[in-house]
Amino acid sequence: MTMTHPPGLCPRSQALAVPLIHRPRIDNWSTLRLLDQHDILAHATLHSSPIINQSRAFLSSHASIQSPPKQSSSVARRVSSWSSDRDLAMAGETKGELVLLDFWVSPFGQRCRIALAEKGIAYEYSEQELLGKKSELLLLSNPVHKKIPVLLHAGRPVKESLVILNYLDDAFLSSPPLLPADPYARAQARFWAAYSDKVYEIGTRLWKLKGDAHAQARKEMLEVLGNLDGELGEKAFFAGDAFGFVDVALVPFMPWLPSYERYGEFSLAEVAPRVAAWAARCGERESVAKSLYPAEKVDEFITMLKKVYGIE
Amino acid sequence: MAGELKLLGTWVSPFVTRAKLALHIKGLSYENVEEDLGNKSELLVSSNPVYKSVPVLIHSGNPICESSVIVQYINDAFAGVGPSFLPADPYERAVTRFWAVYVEDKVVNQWARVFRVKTDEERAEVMHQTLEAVEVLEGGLKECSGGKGAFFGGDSIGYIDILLGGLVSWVKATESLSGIKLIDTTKTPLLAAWMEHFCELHVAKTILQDVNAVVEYAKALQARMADAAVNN
Repeated sequence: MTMTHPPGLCPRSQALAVPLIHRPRIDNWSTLRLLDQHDILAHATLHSSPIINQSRAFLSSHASIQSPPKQSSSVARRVSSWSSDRDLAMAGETKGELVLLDFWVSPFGQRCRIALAEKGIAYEYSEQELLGKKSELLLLSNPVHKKIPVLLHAGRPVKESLVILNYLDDAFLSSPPLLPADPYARAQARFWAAYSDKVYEIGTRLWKLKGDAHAQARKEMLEVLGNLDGELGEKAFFAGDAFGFVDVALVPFMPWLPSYERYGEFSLAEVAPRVAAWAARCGERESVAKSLYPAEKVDEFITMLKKVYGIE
Repeated sequence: MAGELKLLGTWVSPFVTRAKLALHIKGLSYENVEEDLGNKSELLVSSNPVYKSVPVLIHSGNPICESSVIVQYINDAFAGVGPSFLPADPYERAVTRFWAVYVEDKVVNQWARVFRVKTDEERAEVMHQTLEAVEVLEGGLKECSGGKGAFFGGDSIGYIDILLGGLVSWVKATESLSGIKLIDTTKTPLLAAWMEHFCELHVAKTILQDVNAVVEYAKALQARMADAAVNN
């Protein structure tokens, strides 16, 4: 099945993390940066494999459908200055090609995109076909799970989103760290980042299941959100003043919350008001704005999945 | 890093055993507090409000919860003391972390379901999935050890050895109780060798729970669950 929903444009930013065409061989990765859609269509003419053709067709339809929201000139200026800061940050940083095998709406993939952006690390984004036939590269890179995200670094695969985040801290020492330095603070970060996975797991049960199972999922969701709210407290971010590991782990689930709210009949603002405010605060960050899709797109995706699974 | 260490746990828990293994490997002394999970202490509930479960490591009054987080914390906080649990190389570290997640998600969490599902059919299905996961883990052991030794950490034990090590007495108890070999010499020879070598270590002999005691505990637990099922 081809992807029928083009990636949405996040309202705040103009440059989007639009899927790049994956090229198995390329000469010089070190000057790669997030490309805008025109560059992508230009690059698309270089290859002609079936996946590429599908993606190319999808992108051209995207280009014609998509009319970017009101672009103030200040937005355009902010984005272009970010791009050049990014280039400076990346000079000498990239130690071999980085390719992220990903799927546009995956919150686990988005954790990686946000982390890479926060750390100013250049990489090639490679959109994977998940609902139809998986690419050979994905199957070879992650034979155990056949899942994204997979970060290929000089051809070697790193798998599992939180493992990838840890890896980025370990392998790119001159980039701003996601995890705090203090062992106790690190332990807290690990605990809560793992805990944040529950939002997605329970949320999935909310839209998939009915009856008692649904009621149980709703109960668990309220508990989890309440715990997260308590842990965040009055802090700006989970570790304090700085955006970090737990924030990166949790924020990609935020565009899913409106759907979960509807399926679960609750309000995030009521159940976890501080998390709601934190989500808005995170959304102001360039890395987050560029990586996440609007809730409406996520909701469309859930609706499509329900059809695929034959769920009412 | 000075400061008293206190471990809230139960003797039978494989997750608590992980913490004990880690503390012992680092040569750390600690106060061992045996909790009654039917009557949880105020300290346990206040230290682990999210899960109210064991193990909890309390270091200078600060609680750390979840066994894998505790083991990593012990490695971080006592970095200069004893061996490191993780490889130095970032990529090897990532491979280790990947398989640690696999152990938790596919082996441990599946196996834990055996004790929760109600029908024999469900139990058989869960056991089947657990055994399949163990076979995949055989490949993980090969990848992590890199041919350097019997352990995931190569010729010395590391993070995954500790995570899996906590379960050894339960693996043996399961074989004794049900005849099911979670780690089968013919299907998973590397893991079988791993278990043999692990059990020969001084730390294993000191820390691992007595298998017969675990068997008795499991029998009593099964009986209680059967009673509860009848009475519901």
